[in-house]
Amino acid sequence: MVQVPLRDYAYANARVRAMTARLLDGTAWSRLLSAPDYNHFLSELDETEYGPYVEQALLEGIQVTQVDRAFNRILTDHFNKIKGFFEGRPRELVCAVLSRWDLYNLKTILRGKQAIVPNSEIVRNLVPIGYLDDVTLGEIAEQPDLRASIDLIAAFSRGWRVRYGAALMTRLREYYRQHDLAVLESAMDQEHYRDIIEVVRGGDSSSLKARRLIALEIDIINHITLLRVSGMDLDREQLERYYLTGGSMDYRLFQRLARSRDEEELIAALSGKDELKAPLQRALAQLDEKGYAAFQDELDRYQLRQALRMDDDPLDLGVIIRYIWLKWMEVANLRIAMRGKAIGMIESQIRKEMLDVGAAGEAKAG
Amino acid sequence: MEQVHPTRSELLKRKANRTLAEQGMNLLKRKRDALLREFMPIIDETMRLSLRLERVTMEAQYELAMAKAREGGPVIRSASFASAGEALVDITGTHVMGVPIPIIRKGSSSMRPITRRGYAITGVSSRVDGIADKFEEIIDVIIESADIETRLKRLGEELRKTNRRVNALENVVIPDLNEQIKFINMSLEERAREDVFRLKKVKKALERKEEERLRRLTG
Repeated sequence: MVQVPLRDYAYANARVRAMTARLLDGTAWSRLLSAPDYNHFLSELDETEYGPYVEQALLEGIQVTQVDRAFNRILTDHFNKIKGFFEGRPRELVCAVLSRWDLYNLKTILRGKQAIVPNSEIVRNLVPIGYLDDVTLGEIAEQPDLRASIDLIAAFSRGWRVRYGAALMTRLREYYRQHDLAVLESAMDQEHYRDIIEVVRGGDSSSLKARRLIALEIDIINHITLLRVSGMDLDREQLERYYLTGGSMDYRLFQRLARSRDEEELIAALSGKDELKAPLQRALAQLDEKGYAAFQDELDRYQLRQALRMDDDPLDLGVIIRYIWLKWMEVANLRIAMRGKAIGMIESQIRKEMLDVGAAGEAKAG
Repeated sequence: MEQVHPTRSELLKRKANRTLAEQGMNLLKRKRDALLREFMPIIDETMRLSLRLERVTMEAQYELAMAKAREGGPVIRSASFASAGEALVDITGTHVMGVPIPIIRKGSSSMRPITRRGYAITGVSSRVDGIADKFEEIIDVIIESADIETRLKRLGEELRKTNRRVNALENVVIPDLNEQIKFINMSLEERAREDVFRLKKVKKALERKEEERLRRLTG
């Protein structure tokens, strides 16, 4: 049956709700987690909708890496399928929500080119689910060197929603002076969020939800960045490079907090205000046990919960956003379980490491 | 025992050889003691470093597995493309009791600040920082281990060689020389006794001839 792309959410959301119902349920999780070893885990996984992907992966080898890539393929197929439901503004918003993968893909190509990684290896690590498809990314990856890839990004990106090429060209001279790829990557990060936040500007509920999600992502990155650079002697140029616009934190506050010498004062300042107060305080309580990873874990979990709560209207983007995050969480949990089984972890240990399956089940039921 | 000529000059030569062998053995024993004094603390240090390496590697592997699980293997692999680097090592040399030993030192620490790892921190999860810290620490510990283990290996070889030489001198060469000296001494003494006996015989014969001559003169 040929699907005609639509400009409204009614039909697509019904399809996505059906896809949500096909996510792994409690019984499937119990069977997977009680598998005695990695091979039995794969056999159980073969019984789910991951079966064909796992079988294809097993043709390449039985290693965790091959199955891991199969998980990326299933994400790519599912999310591209959702994009195919729409045209016009709804498609634009879905792509914007998924666009951080464009950023990841382009960076992976540039990193691979700089480290002289074979093209086939670069392509294997790409996840083409944003605006950019596998053909475009493959063409950029096929270029003979880093400069040629940058030139092609610059040429292609004249027609893209995010002007990665312009950002790269602006910092190219600095890159050649320092030979530090981070210079180019931060330019791409800044351009990405600056442009994407503009793409999702609009008064309708779907645009507002997409904007809220991306603004939250920017806030989380800015908060984590401040924690990561705390105590470092950074000059003005570096600070400007690490700040992302589009979130709730303005640059002056970012600059002031980044210059804060006292780590405790910084954490108190970050956790004392705005909507991230609760997750930051939870992370603070775990700081001794987990270190700074506690902040990343808690903020990621907060973002996940916010995304899962966005399906209050059956006729807007919230249903899609919720599915995307549910699927992402399911795959993350499968990865944790698979690697846990591969290194001989017991079920209770794996459950402790997993993102909350119970919450996912409730969310799925909801 | 080799062919020995039981002569006085040979005895002197063997005695000189024995003195030399005993002096050599004492020197080698002193060298062995000195090597042992160097060797024992290195064993402790090697054990400490190998335990540290084992612990850090285990922690790093666990964190890597968890980060790959959370972020996805390709994401971590992508970050690793960016942070590929080189570890500089200085190699010089020294001598311990005449044993040449290489000294391996870090050119600079492999531990890099998060702003110098090749990726923009705004685009890579902070979980990667933890893994990078651990693996950079592993490189540092490997370089330290390489230095101490090479030292241990060289000293160990020299110690074994010295011990073998001491044992050869103590249990083979010196006892052999002692045997040879004893044999020469016995041979010389035997020869002296024979000479005395022969002289006594000659003396008796001469005395008998003298007695006969006197008897003929008086008779």
